[in-house]
Amino acid sequence: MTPTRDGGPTTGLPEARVVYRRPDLLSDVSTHYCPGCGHGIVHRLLAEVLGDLGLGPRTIAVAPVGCAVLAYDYLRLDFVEAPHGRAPAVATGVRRVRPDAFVLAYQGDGDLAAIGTAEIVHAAARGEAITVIFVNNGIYGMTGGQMAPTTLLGQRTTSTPGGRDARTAGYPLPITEMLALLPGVGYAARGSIADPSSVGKAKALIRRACEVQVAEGAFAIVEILSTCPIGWGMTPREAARHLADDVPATYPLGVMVDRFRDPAPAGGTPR
Amino acid sequence: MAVAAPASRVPLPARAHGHAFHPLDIELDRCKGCELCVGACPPAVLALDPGIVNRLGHHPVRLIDPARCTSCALCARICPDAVFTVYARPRETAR
Amino acid sequence: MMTAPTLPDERVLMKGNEAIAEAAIQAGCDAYFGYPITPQAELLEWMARRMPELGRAFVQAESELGAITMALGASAAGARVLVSSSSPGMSLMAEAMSYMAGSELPVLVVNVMRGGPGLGSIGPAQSDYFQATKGHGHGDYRVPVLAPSSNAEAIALVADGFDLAERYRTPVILLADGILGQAMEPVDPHFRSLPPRHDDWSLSGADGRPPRVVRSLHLRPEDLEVHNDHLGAKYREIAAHEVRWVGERLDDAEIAVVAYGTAARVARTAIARAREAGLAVGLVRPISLWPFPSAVLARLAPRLRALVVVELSAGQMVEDVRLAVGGLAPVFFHGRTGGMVPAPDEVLGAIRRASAVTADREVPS
Repeated sequence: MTPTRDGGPTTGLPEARVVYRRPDLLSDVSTHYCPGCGHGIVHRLLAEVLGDLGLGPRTIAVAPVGCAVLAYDYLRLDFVEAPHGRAPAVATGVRRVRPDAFVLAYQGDGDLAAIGTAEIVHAAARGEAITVIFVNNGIYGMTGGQMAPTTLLGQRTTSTPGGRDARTAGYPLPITEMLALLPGVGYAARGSIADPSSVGKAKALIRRACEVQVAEGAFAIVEILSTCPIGWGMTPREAARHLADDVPATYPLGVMVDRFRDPAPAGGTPR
Repeated sequence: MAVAAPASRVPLPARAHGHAFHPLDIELDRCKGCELCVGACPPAVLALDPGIVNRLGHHPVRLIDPARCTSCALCARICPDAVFTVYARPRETAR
Repeated sequence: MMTAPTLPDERVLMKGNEAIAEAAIQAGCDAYFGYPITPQAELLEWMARRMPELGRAFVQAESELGAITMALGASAAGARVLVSSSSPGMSLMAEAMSYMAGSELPVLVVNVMRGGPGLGSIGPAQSDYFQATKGHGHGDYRVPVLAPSSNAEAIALVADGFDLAERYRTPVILLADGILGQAMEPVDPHFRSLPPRHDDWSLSGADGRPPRVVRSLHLRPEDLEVHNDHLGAKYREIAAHEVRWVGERLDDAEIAVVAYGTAARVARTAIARAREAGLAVGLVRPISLWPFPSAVLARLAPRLRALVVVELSAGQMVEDVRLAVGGLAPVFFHGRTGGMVPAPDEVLGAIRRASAVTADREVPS
């Protein structure tokens, strides 16, 4: 019979300290995400952070349209589905009538930076006390790998088969830098899940973004650069390598603004 | 399995008998064989097991040399499917 | 509280838009989301002043699309929500109406109709009947549509609308027009209040209970079919119990005018003049446009010589009248578009023409 577990409590010594355990806020199911997809990592980080901060019981989360449309099956939180791009508006509605809730919007690059640009800009401009997790893998995964606003110049997608050409398809959109300019934005940062070190730093950014909502009642956005191995036509490890080596030139990592630790931020320069 | 194992996948040693400390608990049926953990593991003690096809249709990852695992948990940190539980090695245990 | 001028009998003069807004507040509206558009800006402005006074939510959104999607979120989180707009803004809401119908979310949406299509005019119209009753957004769904013809009725239908929305877990449209929105009429200032919303499905944080999900996605076709069957059963229930209409002078009528909203008020005057001229005319005034009072018309049609449908449109409700009548009596139509309002004598002329054309029709008395 095929084993379903390798190792396990019967083979570890009973007094062994647990260094890492699957977070409780992750549902006990396999996800539909492709092997190596960054969404799985980001979901896991969210579950860890919300668990660490004790926010699970009062979170109302907003699910996007995109590969993460089924996020509500994977995270043990109250969830409302939003039409494509509208998550920040849906989150605003939740926020305004549930003052005690922790409000989270989870969006991909098409959701946030294409069809939903008005909604994210105005939620940020209003300084809505929500936390936005923006997963940017530079492609439209769910619909089969078309160009996203954040697709890199020269990148081949199914709607830019010759590589993205700025003359016809424009330039990658630095939406988080743009949002960081707004006085209503309390925290804007960009991380990556390219390797364990980046993952650790990304977790800290997510945690800070959650704290900014709770402690300061301000708008926070964390952009997480992620991979789409299938859409990019790479193995998961190749995709992680590409993410580490090639993407930050267009989308630099760092904190763009943290208004509560630096009241006078200098433009959008990452630190 | 009739499929030839790729060169990067090492044959797995037989499990030692008795109380061998096993630092990792892996949910084999949730692994998708993405190998991000294989690339992340500093002592390179993780590998996909070509002898198993799990419920999802993948070759899952196995800990091939428990003695050299340091419980650093980088595998757990990079895993998109949260298949790992990581235990710290008790000091009394001989390697 | 209210600064509107008072009348000796305690009624107050209120503009329609403001009356609707205050009715929503008195009915326990927790949140209002809107965007300025003529001819309903006063509704938004009334809410902008009153809602913060009461510690309730008010947002002027970035667009009607933003407003209706905020309403979706607020409703999912358990609030009683009002949104208002006018025809072009309603078009932007098609997406969210479909999502809210699919997710079974109660929201009251007020459409103060204006001339279309496109940017159209700011004059009153009834040309969003199809939009309101035939779907608006994509997919198999219906929404109850309530059509007042006076400020007093609009006030009553606001509370009715919230109640319908919450009892059946559905968006509801209150279909008004620019005249109703702008006209000042005396109203009874004692508005109906409703008990707060209470349910076991809305979102508040999974504290000590399993997580809840509000969604319209059902990826497996078998599951979506089951869901659509459930929605269909709900709509049949609504159709069976929530038809609203008023009949005037129908007992001996040989001709029935069918009209709603402002058109009904014009028709009432025309009917009075027709009666003076010896014509036996009555009025069927639908108040619920969906569910449409089809059974009423089917029952009346055999003893009518003619029906005359009057709308501020190129003819939309007339199609439902024809469907209901099923060929049992001839249906005539008189309409004006573009924001124009027919004068009573125009409608009287249409009644006379219908009467002349059908003079030889035998009908049981």
